[in-house]
Amino acid sequence: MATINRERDLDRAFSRAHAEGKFVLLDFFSRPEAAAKQ
Amino acid sequence: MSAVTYPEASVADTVERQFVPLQVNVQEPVSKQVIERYRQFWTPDVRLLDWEGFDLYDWQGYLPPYEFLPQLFVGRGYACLRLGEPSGATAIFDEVVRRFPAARFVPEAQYYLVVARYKASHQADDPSTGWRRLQDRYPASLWRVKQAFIEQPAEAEHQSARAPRKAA
Repeated sequence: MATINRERDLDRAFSRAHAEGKFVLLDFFSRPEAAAKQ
Repeated sequence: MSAVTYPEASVADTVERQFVPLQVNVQEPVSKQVIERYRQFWTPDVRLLDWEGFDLYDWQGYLPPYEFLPQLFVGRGYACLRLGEPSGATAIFDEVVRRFPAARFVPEAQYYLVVARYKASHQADDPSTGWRRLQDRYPASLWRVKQAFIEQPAEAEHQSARAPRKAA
């Protein structure tokens, strides 16, 4: 699964999803100790 | 999720075949724009987006593979419904009910299976027929409650009596 950080990376994924007739699965992740601080 | 759920073979296969999968590390300062765009506040946070970036379905919290997969299917079916594709949604929800009978997301799938069938057929008796399965199989489910308005008072009382109750 590719890791992205910038909106332009998202835009490329949307173009690919459109071309392939798929949805984009976007997973926000962090290490557990960081999540607890959010 | 990255350590346990995504590497599991059936999850990996489904994700790669049916989605364009991406991850965003919220600890990276450069992720700020994406985090703000989706009002993300907690991890894990999974979004199913259409090709315009519209958030069609999402959930927060860790799921092991045996719950993640049915949740993913339910999300995909729900996304199809929101895009006006009830036939596609029907096939997906039907697969969840048949393939994952013990999963915790089956009542939600059963609820939306009824909705999708009705949207596809517009047969007036579809909801009551399909929702009766919710009443019979998942009487304590929130999704059964969401269709309880169609239940006759006596039947609803009977179903409530069958539902597990917490001790006072």
